[in-house]
Amino acid sequence: MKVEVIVYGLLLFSVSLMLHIVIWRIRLPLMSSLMLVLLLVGAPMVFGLCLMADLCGSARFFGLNAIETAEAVLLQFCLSGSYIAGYPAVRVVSPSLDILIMIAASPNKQMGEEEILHRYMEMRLVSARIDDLRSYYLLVERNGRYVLTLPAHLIAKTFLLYRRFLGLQMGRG
Amino acid sequence: MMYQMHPELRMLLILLLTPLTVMFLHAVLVRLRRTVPPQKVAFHASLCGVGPVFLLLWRYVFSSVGPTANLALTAVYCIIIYCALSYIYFHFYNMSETARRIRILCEIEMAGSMLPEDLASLYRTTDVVSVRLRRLVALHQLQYVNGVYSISGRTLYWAGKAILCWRTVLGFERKRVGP
Repeated sequence: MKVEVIVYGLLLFSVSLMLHIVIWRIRLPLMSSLMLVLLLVGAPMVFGLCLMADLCGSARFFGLNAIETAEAVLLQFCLSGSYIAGYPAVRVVSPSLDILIMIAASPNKQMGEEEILHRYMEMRLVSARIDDLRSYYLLVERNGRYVLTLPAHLIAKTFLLYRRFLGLQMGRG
Repeated sequence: MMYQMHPELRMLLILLLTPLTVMFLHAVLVRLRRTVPPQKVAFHASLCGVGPVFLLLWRYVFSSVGPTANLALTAVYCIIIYCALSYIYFHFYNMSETARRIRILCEIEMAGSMLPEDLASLYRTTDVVSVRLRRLVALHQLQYVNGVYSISGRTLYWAGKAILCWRTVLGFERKRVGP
């Protein structure tokens, strides 16, 4: 394997990440998670696949052949995937991490359950998530009831099947 | 057939099997270790996956590369990809376990449709917080002594701090936003 594979993979990821920071600082995109996937995975993948198709003969791009380009794209894909996997916790601070920071910041570095609950009673723990699902068109209201759209059906079925495969009940959220 | 392929193509195929390998091991470990916190089991499955994946890599890739600097570079590449794919798998599992949006979708999928008030009653704030407190105690990130919670481990605490810093880099509002 050439060192260029790792260098180009890291470079591709760094450029995508810089673009992400610049765009997000200018204006947080609507459907930011979807935009992030397109920016970090979609665009580099399309670029990589076009390049691989072009390189299937003996052509080379920056000294890389088709397989080496695929290796660089896989590296970029994995790094981007790792970043995207952690992005929901960045977009809306998770209650678990928030609880830890809250306890550490409290005067005695300890809190009772009532005290912790009191803080969360004022927050929109569930309705904010429902609004989020509606903004992504995963949930729609029909005759006063919430129903899933087709993509949401697929997501829900995937997770239900996955949990069944693992032999676990549905997660507690 | 594997031997007819280019060694680097073999490597890519084996690495791409990582999430599946970890998922199968995870399914086995879940059934063997019912009392261990679920996130720990998922992490252990990622660790166990190292064995079969790197055995296959050794058999079909490393042995044909030869003991050169190239081998070290290939090994570094494989380790990065394995760690990243395992990390992605762990987050996928974690979503199925802890994400409220996924739970809401699954509840509606099973019920067919739901009234807004049914959804709210199903998912009360007290439950959300209690479940997380129990989870953090099980993961040794919090300890519960004499009716109060205090910090025990620092891993997730520092992860939370790092996330807050990254929010500032991305230009999210600086106030600590709730869930």
